[in-house]
Amino acid sequence: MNLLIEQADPPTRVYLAVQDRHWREHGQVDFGTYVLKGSLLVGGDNPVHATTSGTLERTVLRPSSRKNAEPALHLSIRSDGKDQWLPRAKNLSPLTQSAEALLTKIATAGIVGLGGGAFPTATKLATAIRHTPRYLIVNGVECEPGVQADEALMHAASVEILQGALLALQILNLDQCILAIGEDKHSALEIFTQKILQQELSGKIQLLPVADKFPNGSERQLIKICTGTALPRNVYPAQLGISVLNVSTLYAIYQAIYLDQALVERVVTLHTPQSAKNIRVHIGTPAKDLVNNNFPSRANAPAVSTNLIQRGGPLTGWIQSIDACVEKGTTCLQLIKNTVPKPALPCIRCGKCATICPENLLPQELYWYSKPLNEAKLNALKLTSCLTCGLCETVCPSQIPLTNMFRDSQTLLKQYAAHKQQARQVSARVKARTVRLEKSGQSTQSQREKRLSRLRQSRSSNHEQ
Amino acid sequence: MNNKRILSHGLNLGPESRPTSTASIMNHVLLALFPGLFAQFYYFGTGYLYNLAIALFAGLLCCLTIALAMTSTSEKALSYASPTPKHRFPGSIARKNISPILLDNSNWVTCVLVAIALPPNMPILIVTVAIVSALGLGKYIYGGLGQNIFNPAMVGYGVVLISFPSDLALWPPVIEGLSGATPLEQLKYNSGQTVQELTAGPAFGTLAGQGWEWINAAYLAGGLYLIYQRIIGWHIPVYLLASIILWSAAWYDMGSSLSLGSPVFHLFSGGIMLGAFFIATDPVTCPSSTRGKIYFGLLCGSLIFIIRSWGGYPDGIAFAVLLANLCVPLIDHIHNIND
Ligand code: SF4
Ligand code: SF4
Repeated sequence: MNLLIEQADPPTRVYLAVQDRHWREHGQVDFGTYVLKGSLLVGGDNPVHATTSGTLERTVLRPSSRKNAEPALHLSIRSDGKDQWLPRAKNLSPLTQSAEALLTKIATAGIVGLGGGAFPTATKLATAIRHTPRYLIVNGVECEPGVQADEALMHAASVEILQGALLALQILNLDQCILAIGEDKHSALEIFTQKILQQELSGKIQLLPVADKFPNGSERQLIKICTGTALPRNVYPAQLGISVLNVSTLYAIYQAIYLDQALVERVVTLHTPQSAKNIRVHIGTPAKDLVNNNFPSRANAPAVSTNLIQRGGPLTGWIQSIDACVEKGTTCLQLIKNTVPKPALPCIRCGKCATICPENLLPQELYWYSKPLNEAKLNALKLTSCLTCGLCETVCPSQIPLTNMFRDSQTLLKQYAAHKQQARQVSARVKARTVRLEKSGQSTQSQREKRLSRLRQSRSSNHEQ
Repeated sequence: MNNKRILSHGLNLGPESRPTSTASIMNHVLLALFPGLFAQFYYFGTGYLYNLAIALFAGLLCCLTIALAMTSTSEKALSYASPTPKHRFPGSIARKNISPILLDNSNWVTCVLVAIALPPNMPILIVTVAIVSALGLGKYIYGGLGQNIFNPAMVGYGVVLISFPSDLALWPPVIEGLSGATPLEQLKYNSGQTVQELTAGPAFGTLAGQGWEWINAAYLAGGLYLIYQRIIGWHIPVYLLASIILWSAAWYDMGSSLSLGSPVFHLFSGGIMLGAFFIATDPVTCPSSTRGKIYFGLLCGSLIFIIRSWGGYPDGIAFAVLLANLCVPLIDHIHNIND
């Protein structure tokens, strides 16, 4: 696969997912108005920007590309094809700005972790600042086979990435960061070595080649490699003052701060059975359009109808709806043949999955307790620390779809926890009310009696009439 | 997920995790049993082939019956649900459901293990009872592959060992014209001789019992092959053998007449290597965590030594493994993570 990044044409319509439940209050533009690329549509904590110029039409329910997600609300924009940018500020001097100002800028540009996690970057950095920053790790490992979006970006935008890293250092008030790059990416390593020498950054940015082994690019594994100590379970890196930022996130930070651009495009690796390429895509492009636009001639266009689209790489990805759109966290889209998978055999507890699990979990036990979901056991077995990396599923001789199952169980556990939390809140409220009433001299009992007698009275008066 | 598709993207999983299939794992186990089988055949003659043939035939019949029974129950359930006559022909459904049971190679591994564990030239009845209890009581009563808590082969062997104790004590002599007691028994009922005097007898070879040492060495070779192929982990066999060494060293008593035999003798007697590499390592019935496996190995080894030295049975593998199997849920409960 070549490492050139193609620029995608704007699709006829983009659909932007709205995550804010109170989006109406934060709405900035009326429906039917003409918006430019980069203009803010919804403010608040999860800002939405127009990713191309055109008319803001309406809200639609469309399938979400997230795993196990219900169809979600999307804003649709009919593109005018010009892809015209909002006028941007010039002559910014970020080096004199305070960390808070830069963080606000990152937050309003809608920057999230572009390595797939899609967690708001400003929040992540702010948490690290609260807990005294210790390490900044720049993640350019991208170890999943077949995904090359980051590698392509490292080729195209090494200077910008380094500038982004310097900005992150400035925000965290650190002197040095580690730039981890996969060992297999020889040319990227070379480029960065040169650029760091040229710009005399070797005191600030330390280049670290990381073994090409999956899943070394995952946050927790990378921290273990760079700092030498494994993160305890249930602790977020930010709580220990460790920030891990993806190279493409840094590129977005650079764009937001130096060029005043919101996050509206990202690089996606597009795989089809015949070919693969890296494309800079407008966020919100439906997967179907992306595939069709990139294979314009009918003859060699893979039939979208007979294929499935998988979001993410071959190991960690999952099948998404063909109508779902590119989101900020979409690193890779694959068109794969719609074949019926081989039926899974029973688990023979061979332990291959446990040998390979990077988090030292016991997938065979997780599987056993996922079949009828056993909440207590799954929590004891630390299902939450499963990275859903897909390795156990790959090595399983019985072809059990383990990772998919774990992803489902994780969703269910989260739902259960949320329901429990709700129930606790309600019962606390009811208790508080009882106490309140008793204090004010009216027990619930007497209240009920009062209400009843009132009811009886009104009934009897009705009868009399 | 499709292994091949991922590997075509160039994922390097390392030697631990060559993608395999469940069937090929069992094929490797069968292959690894061959040297031992050959050694037993060499020392005990065609009686073993006879055992093996009966065991495999009984296993086939047993699998067929189980498959038919399972389909007929599911057919009954279906016919309640839908009264269309289509479901009343057992053949059409049976054909679908028989194949997974017959193609499940672990059943053949179980049959072969039972045949090996029994003394040669067993009556058809005993072999059949052993196989039926192994597959039926040991495995399918729990729901089949991966669901059983006891090692099926040892359930089968245990049932016949309790039911026909005198037949199962009939080990033919390795050398013509020698008395029937195995070296292990000779040592146990040694009537005041020191180990030195005993091992000078014709029933003993260089390391342990004549013949038995080579049979054990052959199983050891097969077991090493399995570890090399990463079919089994090394923890259980190593810790099992280590605990046997420790126990026998503690009771060696410098080879006096009270001695229970040297560590080397114990390692190469009876079915130790078969038990350590092929029976205790049965993945279905051993703990999943690495630390759990270590405890399991130590427990198995200790029980084997205790039963074979002070118990009423000639060798302790079957009951030791079954007892250790009993503890597996507890071990799994305590060590449920690989940290
Ligand atoms: S790899 Fe598959 S068959 Fe083996 S223990 Fe894990 S889940 Fe079971
Ligand atoms: S997906 Fe499997 S191998 Fe990966 S972390 Fe989860 S349990 Fe472990």
